[in-house]
Amino acid sequence: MIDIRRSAADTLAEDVGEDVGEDEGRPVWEPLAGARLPAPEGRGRAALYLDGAHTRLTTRLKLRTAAQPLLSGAARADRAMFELMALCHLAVEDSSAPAWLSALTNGPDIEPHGAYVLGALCHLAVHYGKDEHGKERRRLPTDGSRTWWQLAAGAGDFQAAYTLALLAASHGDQREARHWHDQARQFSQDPDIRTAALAPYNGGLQPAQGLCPTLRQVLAALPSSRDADFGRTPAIAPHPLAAALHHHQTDPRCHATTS
Amino acid sequence: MVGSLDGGCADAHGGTPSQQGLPERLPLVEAGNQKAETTLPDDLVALMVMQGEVYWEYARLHLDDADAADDLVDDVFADLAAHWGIVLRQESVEEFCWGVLRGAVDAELARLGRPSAFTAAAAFACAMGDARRGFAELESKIGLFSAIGDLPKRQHDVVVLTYVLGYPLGTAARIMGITLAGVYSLRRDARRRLATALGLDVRTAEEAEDQ
Repeated sequence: MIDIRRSAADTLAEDVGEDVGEDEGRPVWEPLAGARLPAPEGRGRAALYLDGAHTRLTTRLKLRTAAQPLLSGAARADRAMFELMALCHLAVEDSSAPAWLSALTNGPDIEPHGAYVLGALCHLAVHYGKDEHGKERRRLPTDGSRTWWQLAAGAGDFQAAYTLALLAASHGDQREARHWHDQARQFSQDPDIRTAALAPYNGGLQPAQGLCPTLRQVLAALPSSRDADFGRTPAIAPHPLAAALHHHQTDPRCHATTS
Repeated sequence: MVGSLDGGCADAHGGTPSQQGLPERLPLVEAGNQKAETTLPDDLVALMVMQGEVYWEYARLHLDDADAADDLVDDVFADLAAHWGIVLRQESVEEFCWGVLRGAVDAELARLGRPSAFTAAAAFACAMGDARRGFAELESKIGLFSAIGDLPKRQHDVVVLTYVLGYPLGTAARIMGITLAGVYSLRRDARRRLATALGLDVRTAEEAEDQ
């Protein structure tokens, strides 16, 4: 059996960013030093789980197929992720998106829906597309999208609440997902929240090649803040971002020809 | 195997959006349409051998019931096996599978109609390791584990994996399917929050492992 506590000692080292390297091997922060559960003597109960697991699973899988349709956590999470990505695309490629972003001013007239659009931009920038070296982008420890959607949802934007529900569901956080789903319903006064969320985009979508490099650069250049509650969040700079988004939407090079 | 779900992920995988891009109405796929697998894929068996124990430990901590943890983790792997095509399509397979495990734990707790048993289960297990100190030890641990239980999900997971269960950081990163940098960052954020929750000096929490 593989003991992963001892193996795989950090083969990930080549793939890490600036935050790494300072605290492995250091003394544990005193209050957390006492959080370590005692190791079991001999083979623990956890190790027994794998005994006969193959046979159990094969049997269960057959039962599962016979008993279709069963609720699948995997299918649900995947679907939430997919729907979230789709909504972000719709929000970013919508022709009024730059105007919403411009209205995200740091003042009393702040437009919460601008925060929804900015969150969608952050989500797409972090999770999709390739980086400048053509490598598939790895997830970054940033929560910019969540933060901006929380701001918008706090101001009653039902689409932001719905995307937060999808984001939570895609990570398996069912309780949080239910909370945001309820909020979204309450804000929109519409029991069919998905249809309501899609309704503003009835004009359809121009297929795009993902976010263009210029837009990504403007987004990446935004100063960001760190917060224990919100993680890394890019700051508000609506005008350059709105201009870059407008450019992205109008420049034919950023969009696939539909021939 | 992946079937109709392929439709919407053009940009995620660098495909050609003109062929695969989003149509005006989203093809929201019903989960039941997937053709389910009936045999265990080899990669899934590998995943099970690598992660089975830690999945079980995580489920056990939240359910406080070893047999229920057996059942739940079996269910999770059976679900993943039945939808292996979906799993393989993910940006990070490990992160996705970890999310499915957490979702299953949440769903089971909701079905049972009770909150997570994490605080009591962890505090009790911890105090049992030092039985000489008995009840006072148990009491002091409850505050700590309750604060860990209240952390945001991902911070909670990192603290449970690295501090409570004692996995190396790189292993925790692999289990959760995030970067090592992400683990460090979540741990720092978690320490800061715990210090605030426990009424301790936030600065010591930040500096403790950063000296």
